[in-house]
Amino acid sequence: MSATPQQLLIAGLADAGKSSFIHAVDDLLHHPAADDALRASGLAEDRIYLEKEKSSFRAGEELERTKRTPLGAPPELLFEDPKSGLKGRLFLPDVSGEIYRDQWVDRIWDKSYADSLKHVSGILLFARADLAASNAELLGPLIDPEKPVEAVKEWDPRNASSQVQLVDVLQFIATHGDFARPLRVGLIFSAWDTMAKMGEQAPTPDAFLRTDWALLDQYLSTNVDTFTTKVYGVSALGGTREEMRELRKLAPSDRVKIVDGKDVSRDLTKPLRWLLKLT
Amino acid sequence: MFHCKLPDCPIAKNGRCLEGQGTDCPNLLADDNLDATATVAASPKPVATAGIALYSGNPLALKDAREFTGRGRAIVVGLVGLIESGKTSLLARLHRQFLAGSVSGYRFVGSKTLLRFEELNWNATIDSGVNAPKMDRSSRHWDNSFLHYTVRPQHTNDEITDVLMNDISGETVQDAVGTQKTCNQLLGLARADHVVVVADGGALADFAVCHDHAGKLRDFVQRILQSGQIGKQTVLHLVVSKQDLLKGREDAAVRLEADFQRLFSGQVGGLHYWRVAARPCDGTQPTEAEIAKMFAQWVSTSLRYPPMDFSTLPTVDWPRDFCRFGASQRQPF
Repeated sequence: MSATPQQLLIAGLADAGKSSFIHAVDDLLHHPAADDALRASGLAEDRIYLEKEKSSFRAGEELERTKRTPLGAPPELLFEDPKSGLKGRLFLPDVSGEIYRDQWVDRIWDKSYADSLKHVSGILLFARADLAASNAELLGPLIDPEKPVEAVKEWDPRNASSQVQLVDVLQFIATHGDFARPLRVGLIFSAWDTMAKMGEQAPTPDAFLRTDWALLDQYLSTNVDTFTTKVYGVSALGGTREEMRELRKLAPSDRVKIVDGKDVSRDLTKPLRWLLKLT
Repeated sequence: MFHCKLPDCPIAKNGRCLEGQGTDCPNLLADDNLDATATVAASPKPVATAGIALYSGNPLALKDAREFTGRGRAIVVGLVGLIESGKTSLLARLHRQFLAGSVSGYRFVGSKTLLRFEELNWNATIDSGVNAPKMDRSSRHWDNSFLHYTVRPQHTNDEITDVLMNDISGETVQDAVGTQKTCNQLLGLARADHVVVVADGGALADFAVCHDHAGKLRDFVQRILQSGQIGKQTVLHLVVSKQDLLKGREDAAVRLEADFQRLFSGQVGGLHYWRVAARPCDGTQPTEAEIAKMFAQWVSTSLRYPPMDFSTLPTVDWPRDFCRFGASQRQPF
């Protein structure tokens, strides 16, 4: 088996849960639950970003809104599958997610980002389950021409609907990316604990994508020559700030949850295994 | 200031490119007295410095639209109507419908103008802070540019269809009623499979303006028939918008529909009537079902380039026919 790691890109808008996920996976890779589980294959050269927040993550504290990565190596996790010997590198080109919003606003790709796509084998795409996919519309009884207007916000592309921005990010990749097709995309709905609270009424991640992120769903399902998609619901922190007061008593690996269809587990490396075609 | 090879281009007077291509227009001629700081009104273009320029997200200029009309059976829809008649609101509503799911059995495959669609919807969102939906007037700058969708029918592996929607400003339509020359500059109409004439339901309901409003629309259609921009190859749609404002004055809409039937039904390939409210302000819901039906009509019908039934043809000249009839295997957008 080739020693060259397969490159897996993390993508998603700001505040989509990417940082929490990478911390949680980092923890799992260093404490694999079983002999055949994915494991860390060493420490990346530059772990400044990860170590900065490690203690907060382990303590179950809310992570600060990630600022843009200073110049230097992108945060990355190196791992391997002990059974096949396959190696992987999970990396973020820009931790904060602003790089993707910048693409949407400025309509330009950084050359280093373009280069990173050349060798990519898969993408983990993040979206928040507890935030709206589209901007709420002023309709029906909400319309009140007599209501005094305090301040009208001018149009700013940054305020566009999240699912529209994500579709364009994928369209840019489809149009300009240089990779073998179809490319596997693991779509991660973070903060999935908010869905789980619905109990038996809770949708599966696939159903949630269809009903709540319908434009993104249509795009992914009609572009199967370019992208092959699998959808997961993930709770990487475990719960809300209030719930963490209790949950922090558990080890980080015991707080997390991942939902794949109807299957619920704590193995956050599942999407990585799928991206690597191990499952 | 720039000058242009095209005699009717107003760029030397007001900085606006006739074809909507700004400084990229191939017809531009540099002036020796060019003020280096002069700018040309143009859609915002990405500045490719150290990176790769991506498509702008704004309406496609003609040269970019040709990428789609040249590779397959793209549908071109021209929307015309007087100022604030609801043309752009109709397109904005279509975008909202795709955000929520497929539209009349057509699934979203892609779009190069998502940025513009979001901008059109901004002043109807709660976050914008407005108390009622508002729409900025369409600029003449977009008169020869196109909003874009690629769609595919649900539950089939049928070919994708590119839909190019040309939203012509009300000011231009108003001027075009007065002069054939303005009409002739509307290059998208000459290629349109569908021309959608939007009549403002609010104006039709107002005795003071309804006759003039209806008259101008009839005259505009007469102009584009006269010029040959539309004809038997075109499907004409009369859309009465703002149905929420039409209450009690439906007779005005009926009269206009009857006029269109009498004047134009024999001169175009098809004629359809629609009553819609894309952004009603009376507390009712938008007429999404009707708008979806109209969209399906656009996508499924072309008299200009009807789909070929290859099973009945003994041979197909693939290199010659693929472009016209979309018979090539195209990659989705």
